[in-house]
Amino acid sequence: MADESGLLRSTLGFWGGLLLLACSAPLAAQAPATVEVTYARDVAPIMQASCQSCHRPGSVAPMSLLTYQDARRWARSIKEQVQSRVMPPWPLDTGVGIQRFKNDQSLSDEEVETIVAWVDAGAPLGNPADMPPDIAWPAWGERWAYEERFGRPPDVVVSSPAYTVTADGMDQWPILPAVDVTAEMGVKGERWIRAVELRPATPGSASVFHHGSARVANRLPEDVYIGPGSSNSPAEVRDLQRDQLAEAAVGVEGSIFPEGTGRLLKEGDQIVFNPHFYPAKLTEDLPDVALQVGVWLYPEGVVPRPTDGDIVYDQTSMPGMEDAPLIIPPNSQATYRTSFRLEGNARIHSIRGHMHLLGAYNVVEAVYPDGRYELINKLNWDQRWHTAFLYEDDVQPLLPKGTVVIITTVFDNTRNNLAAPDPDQWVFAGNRTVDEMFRLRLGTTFYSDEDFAELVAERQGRPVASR
Amino acid sequence: MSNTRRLGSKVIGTAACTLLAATPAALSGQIVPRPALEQMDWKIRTIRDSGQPVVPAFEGWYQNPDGTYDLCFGFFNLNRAESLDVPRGPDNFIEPARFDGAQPTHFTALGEGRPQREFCAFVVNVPADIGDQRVWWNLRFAGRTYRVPGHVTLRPYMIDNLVNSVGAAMEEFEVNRQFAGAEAAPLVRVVDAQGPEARGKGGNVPAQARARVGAPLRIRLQISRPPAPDAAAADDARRDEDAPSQQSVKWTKFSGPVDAPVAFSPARAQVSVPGEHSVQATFVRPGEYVLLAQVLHGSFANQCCWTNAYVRVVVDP
Repeated sequence: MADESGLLRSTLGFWGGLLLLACSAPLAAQAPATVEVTYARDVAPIMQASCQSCHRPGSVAPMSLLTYQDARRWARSIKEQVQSRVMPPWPLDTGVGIQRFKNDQSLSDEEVETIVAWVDAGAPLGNPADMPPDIAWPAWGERWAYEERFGRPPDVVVSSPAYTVTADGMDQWPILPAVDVTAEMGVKGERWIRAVELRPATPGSASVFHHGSARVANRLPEDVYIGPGSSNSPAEVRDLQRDQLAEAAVGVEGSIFPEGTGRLLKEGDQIVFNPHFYPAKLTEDLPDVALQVGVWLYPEGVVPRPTDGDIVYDQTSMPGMEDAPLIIPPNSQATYRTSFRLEGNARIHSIRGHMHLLGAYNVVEAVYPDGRYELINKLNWDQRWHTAFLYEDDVQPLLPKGTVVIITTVFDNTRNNLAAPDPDQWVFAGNRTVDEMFRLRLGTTFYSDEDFAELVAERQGRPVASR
Repeated sequence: MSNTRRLGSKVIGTAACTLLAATPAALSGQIVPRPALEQMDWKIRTIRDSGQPVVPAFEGWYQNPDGTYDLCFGFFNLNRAESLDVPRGPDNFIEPARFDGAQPTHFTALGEGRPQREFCAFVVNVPADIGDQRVWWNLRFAGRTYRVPGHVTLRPYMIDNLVNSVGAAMEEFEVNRQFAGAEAAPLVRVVDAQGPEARGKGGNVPAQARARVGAPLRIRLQISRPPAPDAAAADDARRDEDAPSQQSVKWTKFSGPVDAPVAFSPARAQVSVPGEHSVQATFVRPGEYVLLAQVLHGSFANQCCWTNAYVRVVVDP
């Protein structure tokens, strides 16, 4: 078999491909001139806040940026990456749509200017006394992503059975045997979930973990809460999301439901893990790979408003697409536009696209029942990140019953797309990484007319999906 | 080619634009005047009853025990009602020329329901030292060429042929065997041809038959499980004997005379395996045909597992 290097990067280890390109040359000494910016005082805090959570030994990034020496070595590349807004990853068009998010990890213009000025000045250290204290980063698997936010580790941790990822280069979608939350974790009665996180729990497995989901396998359709009065979303959409508990991918740890809303976990629930492993660069079998789902619960006795969680809108199976299957011709771009009408009052708390290697972007628009139009967001797809954008509470789109949501999805199967494995191929819908998908996930809670009117009133006349 | 016509230029390579029927009523004059919307058909249909091309597909590759590779090709006939015949030649050829000849000449219409392509209808066997050479399947319709390369240079295009590798890795999970563990390309033998059993997409199931125009030809397939790879799996297999698996059989005309449809009864069927399946094929023109039976135990979309069985039929007047 001929060499495939350079055509497909591993899901997690992509930094190398990006950063190594331009950074191998040592930084040329430049006169600091009059620039006041120093690493110790100005840049180190930015690195700690926005870079080091990934750029440290044992994490997903290929190089560490924990020290001044690290940062100086990669300074030119860091400048390029932050100037081009490739890093930190925030694949969103910041020129249109809603811009306030709970998990916005992008740098401010001022932070970018600081880094650029520091590099242009020769990357000086400055006064070591200005350096902030080192952060004691946890080892892999030692701490959960949501742990700091909730001030405690998960209340319930469910581990999947171990699985051996075989080193044959093929996509693998094992459906792992169910785990009983009562028998294994002692969950009794009915408890409500405030947040849920899913992660590959085995050291070294992150590099082959494409994405994964945890589902409540025993939940019957009639048990599944789809929102007050909501016989709203299309049936096939409900089927897709009805038992989804959590999904994780690069850039998505799980779900934090809006305060006062939650999902139900019941005694006897069976959790089934369904990871997608993509061991394109695995040279030896990787044994004993397990996933873990961590659940933060509301206090016992608290019954929040049930949320629908992520509703998956699969454009492939939307009504009206029967005669327009996903077909992406070689060496071309393809645009698909679909829409659906909400039949319930929806509060949207997160948004996430999903495509594979050829995805370029999604544009999500709303046409309200009274005729007003709003562009919600343009999501710039990057197959290396599956970022879920979590809206700040006061800008979460409030989409009344009857709103038409329009999704425009663009694929790029040309050589301009460095992720395209072979632009000469015709590409179709499918599960494999080299096939394509186009899905939109909207974290959604449905409201009755009365409750929804209160929500809208709280916005005090601002546009329903206020920026 | 039996039916040549110009491809709708908006369909391929540009956009598929769909707004639901519900949309116009919800849109306001801010976008487009309401009367204009209501009079418009927003759907651009890639799939139509007729007039569309057949798109070739490279499904992937796998390596054979002798070191050679099989390149899997499929196709997507974008017509619901129109089957197409494209004889091998300038409108249907594989290059380099030494690989030409394995491809189909008949492309069955989609019919009703959600459209789906024909997965890996044939393979091109290439030598172990093929390296990065590409094998192109070219189809021409109305003066336009639709082509796709097959090659072995990308591991993500590697596919399972005989056994679902995930399933193999899942054998340790007894409870989960129903999901994946048992998926394997079945052994298929064409009973009346007295040929050997074979399995996999390579479709090495030699079979020949004779028929007459208008007289139904009965073809029987004997379908069985592959031998268990080890003692533990053999135990499983014995335990499963009381619960035979349901596998599907799909018949299509693979090649033959132009404008000569073959009627299959039934064209699709479920069969208990191990077991026997029988189909009646009726021909309207004399000539030499190849019929394809795809016996599926798994998922076409996941590229595993099925056996292609080709039956050569000489039809007399």
